[in-house]
Amino acid sequence: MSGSWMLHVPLVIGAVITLFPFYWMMTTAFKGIEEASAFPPTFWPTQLVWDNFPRAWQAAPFGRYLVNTVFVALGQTFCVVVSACLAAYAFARVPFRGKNIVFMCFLATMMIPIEVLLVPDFIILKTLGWYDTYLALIVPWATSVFAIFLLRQFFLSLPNELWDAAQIDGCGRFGFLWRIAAPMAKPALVTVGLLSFHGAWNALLWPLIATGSSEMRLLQVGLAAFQSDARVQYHLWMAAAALTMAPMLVIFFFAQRYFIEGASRSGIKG
Amino acid sequence: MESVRWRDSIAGYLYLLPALFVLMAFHFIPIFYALYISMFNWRILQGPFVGIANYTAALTNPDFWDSLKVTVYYAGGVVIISIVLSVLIGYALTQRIRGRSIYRLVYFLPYITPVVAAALVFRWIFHAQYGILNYVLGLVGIPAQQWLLEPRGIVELMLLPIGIAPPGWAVGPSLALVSIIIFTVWHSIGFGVVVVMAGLSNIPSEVYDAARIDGAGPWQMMRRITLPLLSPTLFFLMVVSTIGAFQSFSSVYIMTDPVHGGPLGTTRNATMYIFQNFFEFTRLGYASAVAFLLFFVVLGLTLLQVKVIGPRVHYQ
Amino acid sequence: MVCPAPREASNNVANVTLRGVSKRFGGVTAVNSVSIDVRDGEFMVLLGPSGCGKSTVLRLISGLEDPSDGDIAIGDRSVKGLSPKDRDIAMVFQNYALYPHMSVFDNMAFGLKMRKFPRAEIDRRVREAAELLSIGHLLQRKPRELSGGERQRVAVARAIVREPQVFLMDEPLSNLDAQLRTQTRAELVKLQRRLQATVIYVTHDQIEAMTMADRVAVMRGGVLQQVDAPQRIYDFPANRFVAGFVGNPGMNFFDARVRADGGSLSVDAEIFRVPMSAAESLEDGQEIVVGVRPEDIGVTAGAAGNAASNLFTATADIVEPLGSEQLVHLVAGETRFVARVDPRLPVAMGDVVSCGIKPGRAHFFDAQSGERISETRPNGLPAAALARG
Repeated sequence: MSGSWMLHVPLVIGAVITLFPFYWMMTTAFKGIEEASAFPPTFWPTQLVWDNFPRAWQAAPFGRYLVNTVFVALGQTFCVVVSACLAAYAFARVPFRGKNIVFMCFLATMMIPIEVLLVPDFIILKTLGWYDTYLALIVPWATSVFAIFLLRQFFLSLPNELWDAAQIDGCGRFGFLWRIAAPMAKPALVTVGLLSFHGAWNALLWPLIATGSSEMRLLQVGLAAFQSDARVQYHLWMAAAALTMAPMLVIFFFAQRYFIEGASRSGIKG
Repeated sequence: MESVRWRDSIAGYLYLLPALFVLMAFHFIPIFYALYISMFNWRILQGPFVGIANYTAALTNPDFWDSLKVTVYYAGGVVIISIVLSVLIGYALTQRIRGRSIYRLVYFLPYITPVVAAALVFRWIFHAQYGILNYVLGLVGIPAQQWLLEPRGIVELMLLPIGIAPPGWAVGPSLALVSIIIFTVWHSIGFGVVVVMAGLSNIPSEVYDAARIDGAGPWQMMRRITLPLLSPTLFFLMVVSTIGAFQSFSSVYIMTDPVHGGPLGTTRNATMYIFQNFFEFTRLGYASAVAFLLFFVVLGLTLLQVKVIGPRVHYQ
Repeated sequence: MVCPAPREASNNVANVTLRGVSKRFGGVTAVNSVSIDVRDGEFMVLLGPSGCGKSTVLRLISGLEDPSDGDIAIGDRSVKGLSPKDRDIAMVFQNYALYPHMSVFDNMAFGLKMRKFPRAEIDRRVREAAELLSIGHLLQRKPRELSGGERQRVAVARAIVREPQVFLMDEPLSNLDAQLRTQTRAELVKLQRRLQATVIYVTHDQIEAMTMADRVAVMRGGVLQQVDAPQRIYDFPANRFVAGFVGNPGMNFFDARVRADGGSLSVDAEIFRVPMSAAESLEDGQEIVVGVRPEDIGVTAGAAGNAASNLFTATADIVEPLGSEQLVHLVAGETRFVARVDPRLPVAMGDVVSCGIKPGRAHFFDAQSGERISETRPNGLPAAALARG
């Protein structure tokens, strides 16, 4: 069908352009310094240098950064999933006074640009003595209104008869959440968890402000600092970039549909 | 019965408590605190009360207006190009072609990568001396560019070969900013594509059949059926992308390191301006005021979009 | 503004002819060599279970799909290669397919606008069609503001304004509730008569087929089973499938064998025996299926007498009183069957009754192929001349 070829050509060109930076990152990461800064550039390393990765890793305390990031990302994910699940359940299935107004207020917080929060949250952290600790990195982001929105949508879609049957079986509200609603919400919870982990892994601005010492740095902040320190060593830049990207790419490879589902659902407004 | 309602209400708020605490403490109350801070000469410690002095200082500071201009250029460029590309790619991917999910995966991939790492890679690609982009462009006869180091506006650069020098206000965003825009489009295109695909799949295929029988050609199909029915999705993308673009930071920080304002300050967007005033100059009060001004701009822009474009959106 | 001819030059004969039409999707044959002649002004119903290919046939006629084999002609003109808009057909979809973002007026006008009709003409046609379907007061509303029944009318009206040669309808009533469905059935038929239109109507509901059609084309697995007037489909089903599909409750089927005693043939279903005179030659012991409709089984209280009579004994298992009649589910040995019984007959669960097959009312089908075995009438002529295509 000639028609479909007309689509494939631009799509393939677009795909090549989209994938090119990854290709270029990897080939540079395997070059020695002279070849990396050679012009005209070579499209494939004439000599594979395996050294860059361990060198980049050791040039800055990336190990520590990694530990910090994993800890913070997991902590944040756990908090978000729990807090969002509880809140979404309340919004979806518990009749309480002022529910709609409170929900509107929650949604309104999504409108607040992060710039407004930088200064006051910083001062609050300092006052609490949380500056440069894990608390500063996790607590302000321990919930996500988008996650609440997603989970609420899911809980609303559960048939009412399910709750009726559970009541007759002697289940309380929390029991229903714990035994029935949350288990049924596993895909949505996984999506929320992955998106939260992804956000924590990628964060730059807030960690930059909330921590000062290099022991508490997260990966992205560390990578940014590395960029400054490793001045013109582009091959090391690329190796370091690849290292910080890798875990996220691996997770994506195994959990693609959750990420894509999460993105699609955000466009379906009530 | 009243006691049941009370019990439910208490239960409801108990469930909300964790989320409520976090939002109140770090998202809601800080807004008012920021307002408070903005009215003081606040360096590291709280200084004297200055009322709206910080605001007037910002409004009379050309650096502030420049940063706003940069942000608007950036948001405009990113939003418009992203939406157009997302619609084209998304539409192509909802046709019956093979390998659709592979394409979708590929286009979504950049969105997953950490902005910092990806920006580093693009900084290398855009390198003025050794970058691959200059090499490839050189193959088709386009002279090497300074990209992230280029302060001249893109309009000015494009008119250069013809010998026309546009006036100061018409030079357009600097090439440096355009480079960052290109990066951002690459990074976020996947999100738009997926959202557009979801929006398109919401259009029942029977409607297309009916339009074919009614005699609509492909162009009319697009204009009278697809785009109107896609308009809620596009509206959502536009609003969300704009709000996101106004908060952009990482790409600018990485790609213009160490001079975060970029060449002649032409990539210093509002977030960077606030960050520099806060982090580097420790003018906390001033930074807060600027943040609020930005808040109003974003709010105003969103309201504008809702009021002007909202009514033209066709809801099903 | 130039007013284009609203309809292609046709000889005003809106018949539809399919010759050997097949459609394959990958390895699946959805439509297998179907040939039908739909006459001008006829209400033809394509009837069959889901997946039988009836909707595909409709889509092939409309041009939304192209056939893998065969020819389709509308008005004696081949439509091969013609896009849907050039075939002078209009379609009413199962889910109505109204344009959600347009008003009812614009929905109806869209097809005419695409064909560049002048404003005044569009206006006139839309209002007339709206009048005909009593939706004139809804013209400015959007589809989401309408009830299901109203949306269905708009879908029909949209087809009418085009004044096409042929109307194609794909299960248009299936989304309506039962009462509305009955009412709309009658209205659609009246509309068709008034417009003298050719209608090809797809449904899985045999009641719709029986009540609305001039002729019914029964399909199964992509293959045309029988094309005939409703009553003839009922009285002379071409094969076991058609016999079982049309009629509610369905026809009873009994496994049996042919017995040739000297010159006369009879069929032995173990619990009963019926005579038959086949138009074709049958072997003794040949396996056969006997079909008897519930209303063709006579039931009387009390066990059957001696074996000489044609009655046999059965036990009532379930009795369903419907007011106008009773449906009695009976068991004889291992065989279960259903009979329609007079409401005044006192039958209860567990009662022993005697049953008889009304003479001449049994249908006979080949056990292997399911094809009808035609009988000769007393005057020696075949009992049913089946019209195929």
